[in-house]
Amino acid sequence: MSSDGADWWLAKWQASDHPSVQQVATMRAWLDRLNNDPRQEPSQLASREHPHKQDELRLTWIIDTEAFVVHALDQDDQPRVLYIGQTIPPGMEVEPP
Amino acid sequence: MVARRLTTPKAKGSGAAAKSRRRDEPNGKRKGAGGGDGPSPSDREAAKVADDVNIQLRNAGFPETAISSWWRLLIDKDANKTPRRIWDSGDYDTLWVIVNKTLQQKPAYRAALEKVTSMHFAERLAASQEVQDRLLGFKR
Repeated sequence: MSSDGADWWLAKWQASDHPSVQQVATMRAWLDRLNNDPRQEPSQLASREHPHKQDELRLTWIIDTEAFVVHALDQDDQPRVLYIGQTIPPGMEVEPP
Repeated sequence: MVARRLTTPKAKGSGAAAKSRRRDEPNGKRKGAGGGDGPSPSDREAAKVADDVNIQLRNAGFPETAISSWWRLLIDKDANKTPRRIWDSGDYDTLWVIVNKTLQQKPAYRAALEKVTSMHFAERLAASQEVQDRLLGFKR
């Protein structure tokens, strides 16, 4: 896995949420495609207001893994994984859709 | 309270139970309100339908997040309503048509749920201070 931060977050997700072998395989496959297709579905752009130029931020929920992924893309479209977890990222105070 | 058993949709003042009460009772006042009479038959029917739908979807392998999204998903052009709106209107026959279509076309609905859930939370991701802190230079 070559996406920056992906290995660390994958290990943390496995330790915290204990996904099944199949779920881990699905997550790995999705993360492995990030470098070639950094905006692959179902990732969605998260709009942010900031006075300075910021990395593009995207959020994905992958049904087969029951997990959320947050990743950022720098100016060269290199993905950086910021979060993998069964629950929404910490600090988000939202109701389920 | 019957509504407390529901995972989704939440039976609030605008939900099916409340609308059923308004339909059934003159002046919108519930019989025995505050008197502890328990749920009306329409409350029980709405709660049962919602629970049955959730059980069907859960048994089909949809996780809770997907079920929550499903209730708000606009995907069936024939019905032209979200499952949530159908539930709110009390049109349970149509609701079950949508449930059956969901189960019959599971891959399509799974993909749609994935997308709609990602979109919903992406709109709110900016509120996560923890993620914002990482974006400001902290790297793993």
